[in-house]
Amino acid sequence: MGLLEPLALAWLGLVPVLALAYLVRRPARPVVVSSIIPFRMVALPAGARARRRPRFDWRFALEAAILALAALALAKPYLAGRLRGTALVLDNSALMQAAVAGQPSGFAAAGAAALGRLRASDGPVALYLTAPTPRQVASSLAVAEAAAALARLRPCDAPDDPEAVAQLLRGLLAERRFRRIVFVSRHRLAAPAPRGIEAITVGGPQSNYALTAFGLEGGGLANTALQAHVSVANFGLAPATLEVSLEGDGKSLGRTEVRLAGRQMVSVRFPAVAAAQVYRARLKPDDGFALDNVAYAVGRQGRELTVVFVSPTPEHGASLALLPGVKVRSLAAASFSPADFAGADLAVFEYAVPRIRPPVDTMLVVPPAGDLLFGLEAASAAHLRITEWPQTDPLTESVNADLLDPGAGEYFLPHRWLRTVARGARGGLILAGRRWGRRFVVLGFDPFPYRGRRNLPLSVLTLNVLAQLGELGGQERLLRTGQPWRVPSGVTRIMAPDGSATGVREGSSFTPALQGVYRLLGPEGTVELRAVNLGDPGESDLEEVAPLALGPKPESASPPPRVSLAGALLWSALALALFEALLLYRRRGARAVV
Amino acid sequence: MLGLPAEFSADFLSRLEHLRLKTRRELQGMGKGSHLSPRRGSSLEFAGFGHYSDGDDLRYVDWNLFARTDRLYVKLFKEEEDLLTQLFVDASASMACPQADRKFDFARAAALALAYVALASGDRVMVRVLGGTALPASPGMVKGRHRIADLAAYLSAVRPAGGLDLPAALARELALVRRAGKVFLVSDFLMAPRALTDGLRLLTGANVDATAVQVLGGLELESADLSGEVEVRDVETGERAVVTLGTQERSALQRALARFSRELKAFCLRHGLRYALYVTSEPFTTFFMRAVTDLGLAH
Repeated sequence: MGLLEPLALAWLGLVPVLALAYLVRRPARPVVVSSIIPFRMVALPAGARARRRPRFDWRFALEAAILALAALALAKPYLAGRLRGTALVLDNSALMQAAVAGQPSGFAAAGAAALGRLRASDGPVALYLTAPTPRQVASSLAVAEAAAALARLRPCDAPDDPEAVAQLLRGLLAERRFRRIVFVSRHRLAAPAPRGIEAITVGGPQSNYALTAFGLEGGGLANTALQAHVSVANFGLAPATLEVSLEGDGKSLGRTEVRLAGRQMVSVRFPAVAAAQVYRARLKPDDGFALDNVAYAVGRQGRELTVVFVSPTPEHGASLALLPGVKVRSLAAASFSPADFAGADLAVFEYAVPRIRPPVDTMLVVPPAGDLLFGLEAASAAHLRITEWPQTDPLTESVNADLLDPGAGEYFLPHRWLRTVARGARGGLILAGRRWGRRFVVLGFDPFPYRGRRNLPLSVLTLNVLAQLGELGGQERLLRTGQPWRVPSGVTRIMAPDGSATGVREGSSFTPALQGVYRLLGPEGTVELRAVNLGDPGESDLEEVAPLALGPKPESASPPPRVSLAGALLWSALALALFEALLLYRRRGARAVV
Repeated sequence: MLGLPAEFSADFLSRLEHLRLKTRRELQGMGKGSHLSPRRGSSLEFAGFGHYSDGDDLRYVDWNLFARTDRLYVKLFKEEEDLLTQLFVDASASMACPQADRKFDFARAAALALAYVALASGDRVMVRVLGGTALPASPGMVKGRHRIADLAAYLSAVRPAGGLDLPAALARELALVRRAGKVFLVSDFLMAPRALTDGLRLLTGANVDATAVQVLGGLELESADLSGEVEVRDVETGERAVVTLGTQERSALQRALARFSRELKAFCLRHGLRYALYVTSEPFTTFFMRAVTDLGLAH
């Protein structure tokens, strides 16, 4: 037993103070009695004697006990606990799907190896998994129950987070709750490995070919040609000829062969890809790690783009209707209400800002000062001057900045969450960013009305913005297994590639654990498709699996496991206080009769 | 009714009518009555034989005895006389303490109930108050059940106060009457043991059949209002003591009072006195009918 705050025992000094208070108590209560004779017959402690030799007083004893218990509780006493049982930390990351010699997968080999260690131990087993995030999945399992649990487990398609796994192991070491900590993984522990962890490494160096990236470009309003790009890597040491094939909605769209030297990575493009909803890239020949030989992408969703245009001059929005596939609903800013967002794919606010969070991707054009929702700070200028115009950004690509005359508008000061895409002489001209599960683009100048070829730079810029916000062309962002996204508005369920559906709320976080195409479902059907791939070269590189670095075990910083007694002591003090209150109440009641 | 306490219901009075005073020996009375007297008289109770002398009624000559002894003897019979009943009621301050116990009220009720029994039997009754201050004039020796109202009025006017020197007070009262009879002393007897025994010995020495009726309060016995450190003050003597009382001490006090009563009873019985104890937490009429024998009454 020990004390975490021994200085708190100084409160025990109040006990003598309490005793003093009882000794110097108030004058005796005068009572007239019919005769003092009975008092003389009994050897009662007289008052004078009582002052010389303190008598037992139950109230003093109770209050002293309460005080002592409270002081002891403040000192935070604890009991040192015993180390018991085994913590089994099992790597279930995508890496463990790779085959190892004699076993269908590294995960199966890990399970068998772990079971061997567990049979040699006694006590309960706590089971931890590492991917997508390290977590405890079971505790206090008997060895047989642990074996059954291991048989049911499957590796996920997501990589693990080495730092999070290291933190879990460090935490288990620091807690010292377990007598044994068994870590089974394809990662070995980097030297110097701390004592106290029994690390089992399954598998060894292994050649592997992988699709490390798969995406679609183009197909937007400005650039209608859709092309696919695939990154192919040979993680083996020997050169290899690999075949990359592309399918769209199950139909073959192309095939190419690439010759890769050992540990080389190339990018393959498939130009003029036909439109499809779901694209799949495959890599041949097959190897021991099938997961990274397939990659998915989703194309344009095949729907009309509905834009709600809010402006003091709504006729500017009507000009967007010239674009094929774009449907515009123009509204005067004064008559706009949040209900007008219904059915829109994106919103454009010209010289206006929404007062509530828009449920759709939104473009703000020269927003007026003083909006509380975005907190934009801007300086007006009679003539904006462009100083920095990136050609690689999807928003600004294909726009000839030399010919672009923004005219009058605003320069934006740096914003908390909107990045500056293009700059002018006194601040940002174009800001873009994500918030509340939506994308936002803010322009400091007005590209409307849309004039098509009569003002080509502004028109291309407008088309780029609309294509980005409307997700025209391929999926803008490459989504990876294990990386969470925010659930967009209108989505109530997400159906995973294996067909299982999960109920979700708008704005909540969703972590995909499986590779494939997810269907984001709303009350009226599919809202969106999202392709999720492993796409992690660190996981696919089986030749050089990175070791897990824990650092040395801090010998002195790991206190023994403790059972705190403070709570029990506080409850005891409280119970005694209640007991005293009850006794005093009852005694007062008895006196009232007299 | 007649200024009697509330306990004296018609039913209770009716039950009192059926009681009579009982004496342990024959006591000389003051007139015709229903109690056997040591005097020879005309009752049916045979008392013995006497030598015939001139003038004796020949009807009482025992002719059988004359035949055997050749001498004339006359049969003698006991006389039946009334009984003087003296009731002494303690009116010291302790009888009003604790006030909630109403000890003096019940002592007065006990005295009136005993007086009524005596008056209903045709006996003479004298009620005297011991202790107290500013006492009203006593109605003196009364006879006839209608005089109970006078006695009730007299006792109702008494307010307990001051102390009581029992031997001195009893000696004074007994010297005033100097007649044999029945004596009831109603008190809490909470006084110095020496004064108590001296007082009771006076009754033993007098030619009376005495009964001590001790009245104690229910709350007084429980010492319920005493806890912690208290300064107790004797209501009569003014003596003080600072004591610390807990549950154990209160129990000891209760045991001491019970022992005091037991010792009082033992003293009374040892010295030929009757003894009855009334604790005011018990209904008065229940006590009185239960303690008929202890009080020296008979149905």
